[in-house]
Amino acid sequence: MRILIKDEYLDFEAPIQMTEEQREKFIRFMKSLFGDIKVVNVIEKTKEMGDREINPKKWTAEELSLLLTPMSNRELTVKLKRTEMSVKMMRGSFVPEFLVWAKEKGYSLPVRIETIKEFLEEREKE
Amino acid sequence: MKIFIGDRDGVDFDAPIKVNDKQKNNIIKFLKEMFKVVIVENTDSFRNDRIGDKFFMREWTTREYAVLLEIEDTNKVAEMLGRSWMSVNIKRGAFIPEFLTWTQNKGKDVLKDDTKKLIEEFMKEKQEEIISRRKKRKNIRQIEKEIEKLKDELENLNSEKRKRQIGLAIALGQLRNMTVEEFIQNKKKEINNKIFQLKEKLSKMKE
Repeated sequence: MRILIKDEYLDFEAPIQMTEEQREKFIRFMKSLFGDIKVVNVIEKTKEMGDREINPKKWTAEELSLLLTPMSNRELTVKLKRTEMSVKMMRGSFVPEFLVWAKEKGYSLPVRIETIKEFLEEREKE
Repeated sequence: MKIFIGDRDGVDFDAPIKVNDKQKNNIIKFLKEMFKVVIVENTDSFRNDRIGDKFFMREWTTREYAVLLEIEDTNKVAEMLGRSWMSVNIKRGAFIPEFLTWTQNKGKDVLKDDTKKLIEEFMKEKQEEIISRRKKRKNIRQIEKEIEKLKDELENLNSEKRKRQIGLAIALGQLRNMTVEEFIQNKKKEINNKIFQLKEKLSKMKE
């Protein structure tokens, strides 16, 4: 995050996302610094996605193995017949989690489908 | 002072806050303790829009990219960066293939090699790319602003006030051998040419 400063003024570059705990801490801190602070609830603007029906397709171990290759998201979109957003989202959550798990287990890339199945089974048990 | 709390966990001030040196340092210290990447920058101007006015996009810094690769849990990354889970997840999904391609091209194995070192090396290369991309974006914005300014100038040429100014300049001999209309026509041609050239430059930059 960027904190912007000009003369005697300070501001966030853009709104900051905070967990409830962080937010409470932040408000307490600001009150300790400035005393009177008014907290106002607002409705945030979101990116318009439009109305559409979403039918999530389950990811198979074979599909997940492709997420670990250097193939671009665009290439995977075509190969897997999924949207680019769904590829990005799955890559964003699956790959870091899998890499940490595989490293702990001492595996190396490229991994076999069985390894991904093992990962999925372990995660299911959790 | 007002603090805005969004329904999607965004937090914002209602306006830039007036601080003395001690308060400023305390706020920065507090935020640095709460978040992993806090960059303090001097600015020429502050934003007018506040949370709730529009959808905000925050540019990703090199240090934030590194956090994406270092930490496994998306929730944790989001909390450490003051970003939404969704934005971290999507950014990760876009960034990971780049990192995997890079490691493969370098003959490295993300599972066997020292991840921290790999990230450092990758980020060093990435930083140069980010800086050049940021520079390009800045140039594009400058040209777009210049075009807007020229368009305004073009529109102003037809105003009565501008016509009077030109007429006065002709009467005072500052503009010679032309009528107000001729001056306006020449100026329009000149501005349109400039706009055309800038638009060409812009489309090449966006390629």
